[in-house]
Amino acid sequence: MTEKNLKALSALLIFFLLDVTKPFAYSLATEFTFLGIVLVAMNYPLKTSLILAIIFGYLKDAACMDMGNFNLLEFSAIVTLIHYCLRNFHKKAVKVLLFFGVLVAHIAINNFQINKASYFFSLLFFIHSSVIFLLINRLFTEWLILGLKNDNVI
Amino acid sequence: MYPPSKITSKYIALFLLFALLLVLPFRSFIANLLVAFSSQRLIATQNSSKTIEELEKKNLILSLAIKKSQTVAEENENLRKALAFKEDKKIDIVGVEIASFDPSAWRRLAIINAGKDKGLRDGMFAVDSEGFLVGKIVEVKNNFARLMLVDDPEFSLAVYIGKDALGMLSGGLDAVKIQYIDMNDNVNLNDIVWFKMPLISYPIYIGRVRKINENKNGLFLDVEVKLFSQNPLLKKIFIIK
Repeated sequence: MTEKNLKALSALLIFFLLDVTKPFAYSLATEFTFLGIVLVAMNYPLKTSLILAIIFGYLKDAACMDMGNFNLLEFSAIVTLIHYCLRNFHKKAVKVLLFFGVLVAHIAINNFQINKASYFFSLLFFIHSSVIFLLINRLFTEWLILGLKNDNVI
Repeated sequence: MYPPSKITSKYIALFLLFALLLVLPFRSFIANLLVAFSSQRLIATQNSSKTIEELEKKNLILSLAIKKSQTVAEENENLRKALAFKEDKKIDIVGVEIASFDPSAWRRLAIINAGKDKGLRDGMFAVDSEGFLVGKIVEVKNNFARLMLVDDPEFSLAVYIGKDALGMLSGGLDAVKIQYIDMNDNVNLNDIVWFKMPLISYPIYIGRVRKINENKNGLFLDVEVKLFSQNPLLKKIFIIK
């Protein structure tokens, strides 16, 4: 396993633990694992991101109740969709549009799954997730670039 | 594009892994592993906090008894006669801690570090150290149980509002609401929302009426509740057996 893959695995593990322990209780309306999977899908090849999506989708399903294999299917579909779009569209705004598209779809699917339309919570989720994604995207990219620079120096 | 001709053996292996995970029943094993991990984290503090837990238990029982005496004073003679036929069950409480939460932001479920080993059963109610309702148990395993918090979208419970109005409390991510309250019922802002467990005469308080909307086309009032117990993360939880 390369250093780059190890970084993705450890980042996703931290995100999953954040989701399970909820250090901010319910004041932060976001899902770190979901954001991590999107981030990995945008920065890693299909094979790596699909393996990670399967592992963490399955882990999330195991920790959730009454979810079946919902997260396993959702994460795998997200990764495949993101890679499909990134291969076919090359404009700068594609990543941004993809993120918002996936986020809106995630919100819609979850509202449908709980059989209740939570408008205020959905808006909150959208805003919180966008801000957190912006933050982790920046930090994660810097972390990756730093690793590559160190590799070059050595 | 990903035409079928480009599918390599790696992707076939991935697909097989995917199919294997769908079929094999590893899930309860992973859930047990998560709980074991959290229990290890909690075990260090458990020994030192046993005495505190005992004191908190006594304190909770006393505060519930005070609430009971306040309610009893307001009960009318007929209700007292009716209740006299039922014998009060002695209240038994188990102190538990939250080991982890459901990773989905759309559910309000927690895993607690006690299960069948401590005599917990489905449908038991959880209160915080002040005696306010936190949630109810929905699944019990040998050493852990799943607790559905009051604001979970699937939570529902028959409750009283104020003195005599009855309704169905249902959780929600936007707001906890009470349904099926008749237009003619006497419901006011800041009325206490509470419920009574069978065989136990202590009232368990849930929250206050925050908002009342009159639905012009419907038969019922639309009532929003502000919960007393807002943050289960910071408080010790007790299960009423």
